[in-house]
Amino acid sequence: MYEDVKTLLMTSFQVVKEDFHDEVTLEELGLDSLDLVELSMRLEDFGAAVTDDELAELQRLDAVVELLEQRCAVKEGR
Amino acid sequence: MTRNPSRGPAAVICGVGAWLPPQVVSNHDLAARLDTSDQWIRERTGIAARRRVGPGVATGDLAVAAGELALKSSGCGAVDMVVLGTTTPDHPCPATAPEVASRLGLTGVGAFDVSAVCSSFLYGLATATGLIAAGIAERVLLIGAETFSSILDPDDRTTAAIFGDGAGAVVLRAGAPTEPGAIGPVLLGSDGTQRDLIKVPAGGSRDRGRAGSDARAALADHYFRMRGGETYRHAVERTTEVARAALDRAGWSVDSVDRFAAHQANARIVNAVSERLGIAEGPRRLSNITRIGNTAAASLPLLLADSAARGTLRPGDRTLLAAFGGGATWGAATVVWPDVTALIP
Repeated sequence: MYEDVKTLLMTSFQVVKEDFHDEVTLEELGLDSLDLVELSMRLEDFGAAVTDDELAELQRLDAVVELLEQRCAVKEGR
Repeated sequence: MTRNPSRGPAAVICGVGAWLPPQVVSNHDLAARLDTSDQWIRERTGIAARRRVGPGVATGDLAVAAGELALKSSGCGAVDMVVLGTTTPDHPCPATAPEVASRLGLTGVGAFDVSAVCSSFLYGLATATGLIAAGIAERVLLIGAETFSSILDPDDRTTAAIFGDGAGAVVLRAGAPTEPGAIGPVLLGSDGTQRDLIKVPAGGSRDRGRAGSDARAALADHYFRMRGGETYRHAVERTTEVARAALDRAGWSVDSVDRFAAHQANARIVNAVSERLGIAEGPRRLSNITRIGNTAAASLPLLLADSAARGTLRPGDRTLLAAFGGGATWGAATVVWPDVTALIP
């Protein structure tokens, strides 16, 4: 799922491949508050909700993906 | 959602006018007194400048100026109804439309205000369409006008950057649904559970008798408040949804839309909606937000008049209109743009 979210950020949020690194934050990727709302809306397509407030709080991309994966798993009853 | 009258004459656009107050407030002007910058405002809103009225100028004054131009554009000064969409009426009571009508030499005609914040023009368009279809009116002057600066908190860098003053108007006459300029299906919607997204807390009956508020808090409550992030989400979702529904009702495919006239809320919202609809960046997306900001109820008629005058909206263009506003409210409509001369100084 990390790679899918990465692809989303590159195709819809003008993030370039070189910007990604371990522990990268959404702020470092250039996302502002409205981008976080847009990202939250787009993440719903993955099957679970992460609010823009949670994105702002978590900041680290790996943590965001981890939360998204957990919620998707709960939703699928795994 | 509302259904449209299926019988009676169609409402056909036969005149268009708009008026903007001359004072320009640039992002640099705002940055000189607020914790903001030209770059910050442009990146978040797409706005570079907005207009402000001078002292003593009210919404009714802008409405008269735009209304006069729309009547002149229609080639006929007579209408039998005046509908004014506004968030910033001259007074809480009475409505502003009757005075506007009289100042336009129309004393005696029906006149009233419509209040749906940024969706007001589409709510007014639905009203005018219904009045004409029902035979209650033959010609309607529909105005959207705002002095939004009158309710802005001068210290709120977000709303001060987004909103501007201005007015736009159209004249609608009874005609045939197949004519250019005939308003197609108009769809409206609302969700009162989202009433706090966009709000002026004080000044209404809900506010009377509130205990414990000091004078400063009371003053602040008369300012316009907007929850930006939540508004973005609802605006994008609802505008996309209602625009698709209006296209569906009109029997138009997205690819057949020549021009998308979205309420100029914020360039980021317009872009997000356009992308979801599949309307690519370029001339199909009408835009004037960079120059005049978000003018709320005046936004759509101003965009139509401005675009027609600049030649970016041409006769025969299949045009989709959509808006989201406080309430929450939203709406959309379709029209094949008519051969009218838009008057905008």
